[in-house]
Amino acid sequence: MKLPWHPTRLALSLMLLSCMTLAQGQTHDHDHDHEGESLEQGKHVHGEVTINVALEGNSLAVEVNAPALHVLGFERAARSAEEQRVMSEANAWLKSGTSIIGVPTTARCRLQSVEFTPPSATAKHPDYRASYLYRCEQPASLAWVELWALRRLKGVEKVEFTLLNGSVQKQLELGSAPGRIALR
Amino acid sequence: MLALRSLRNRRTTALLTLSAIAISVALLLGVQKMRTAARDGFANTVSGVDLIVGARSGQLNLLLYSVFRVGDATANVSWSSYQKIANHPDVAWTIPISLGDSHRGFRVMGTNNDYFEHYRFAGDRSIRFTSGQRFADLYDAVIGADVARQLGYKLGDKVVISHGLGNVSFAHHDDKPFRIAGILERTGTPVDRTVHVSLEAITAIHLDWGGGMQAQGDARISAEQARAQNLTPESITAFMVGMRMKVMTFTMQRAINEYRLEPLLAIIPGVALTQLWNLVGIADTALMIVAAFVVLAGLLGMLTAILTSLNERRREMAILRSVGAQPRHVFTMLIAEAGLLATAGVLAGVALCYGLLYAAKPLLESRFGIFLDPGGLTGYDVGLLASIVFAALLMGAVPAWRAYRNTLSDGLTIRV
Repeated sequence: MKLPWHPTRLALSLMLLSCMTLAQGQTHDHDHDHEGESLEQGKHVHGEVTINVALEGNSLAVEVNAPALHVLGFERAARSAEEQRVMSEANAWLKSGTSIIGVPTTARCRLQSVEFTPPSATAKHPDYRASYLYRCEQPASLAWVELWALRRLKGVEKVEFTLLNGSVQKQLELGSAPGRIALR
Repeated sequence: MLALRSLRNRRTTALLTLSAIAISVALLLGVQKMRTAARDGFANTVSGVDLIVGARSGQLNLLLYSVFRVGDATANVSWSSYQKIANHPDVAWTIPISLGDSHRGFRVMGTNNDYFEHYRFAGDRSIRFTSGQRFADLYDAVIGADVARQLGYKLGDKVVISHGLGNVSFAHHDDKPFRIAGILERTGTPVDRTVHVSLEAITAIHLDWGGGMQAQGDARISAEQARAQNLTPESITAFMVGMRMKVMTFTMQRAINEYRLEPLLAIIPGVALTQLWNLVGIADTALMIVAAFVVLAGLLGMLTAILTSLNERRREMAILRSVGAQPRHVFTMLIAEAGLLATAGVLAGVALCYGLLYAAKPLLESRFGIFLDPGGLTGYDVGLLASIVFAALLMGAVPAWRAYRNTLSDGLTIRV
């Protein structure tokens, strides 16, 4: 028997379709949320880094979260002198706060503080997490950001970018080379 | 010019065609405007709130029950955790939310007066009262615009809250009735369908309840006795957080998500709203597709009208040719005719759409809470309209080509 093409059925199949694409997304993400790990672990998804930007008054806050795999190219304790060197270089870079983001020079932003602690050597899925606070003399000129940090990260497929600016709260899913992102 | 004169000669058909195009364009543009308004309205359900905190579940689940009053929480947030976060130096204000009871199908929400102070929607609109005021007494209730209209309530009316959800609940808190102290202006958000009471009142009506029913006989606590009791709740369903400095939002969100004493989840409402819209937004794309097909139907109507007129106009063409018009002149004239019709149709459609939007604006706001800002034409709108005219020109080429061929073969005397 042929069923009539009922609106509810259409809606249902559309819903199923969207659920399926969601499920595909999840399996593809290769999520490492194993049971038994401590609750305090944030998400750790290979291929994905999180970059948060918040703007208020003169302050510009930037947060970078990345699995160690994308910062170092490996995700375990350093075994050779070469790996040791890669690790200390990465730590020095993230601690320095240089080449993390680019903003219009006319905004005249200065790095004010850095919060960075290298991931623990014992973690099964170590994450790098660093926060930067910039003070900008001309915040009105902050029209865009460029995610320079991505140039140094390896093997990133997707960037989860969250922006807070006044009443704007938005999240964008970006590729590994997103170019300029408007802040307004 | 010639095309215009020729059109004037057939003004009834031309006007009908034009209005068909105008109506379809108005529909397309209207759908486009409504769609933007719906998306903005959706994103504007809650604003000014930096974080929403609840028991650890999913981002959408938390958003749905705390803002849209849909679904239920998986667990509560303990009062001590709430106090700890609320008293954090970076936190400017918090709005506690306690859900679980209902009144004749409307959800009851326990909160405090900070809610009326800090809750924002549609950009920077705050909650305003049509009449009455905030909670002054323990048994005061403030109702949303839909509750007041649908149930015909006015200030001072007594209402009884039912235990649990659902339209027909058998367990009522009828020993502790509430007095309506305030009625809110329409917001176009779920606030309109909510009965607000104080957090303490939620505790008070459940003091002598256990196992889903009220105690009997002497164990009952009367409305007046309840006032003397400690009414600090043990837990709340969720709470909203306003940060002193917005740049600290991410740090606070992480701190809450990694809170060791209780599994909590903090979400940024705007981000969760975008995710939810991505799920439900399929419907508006479908609407847009329908509108696009209506425009296509309008254009096809135009094509039909021009094509059918061609036979009647063989004589016209022949005369034009006899006075020295080249076949390409005839071709251009017919294309121009299609272009003129479409352009006029589009312009009339835009005028019609804006006229309707401005006329319907007050009604949409007061009855449906849709805040529509007709605004100007966006670049996207202009592109859309230009593509309609372009499509019309392409379609016009069909009769133009036919006429071109006819003019080459027809003489002055036409055998029809």
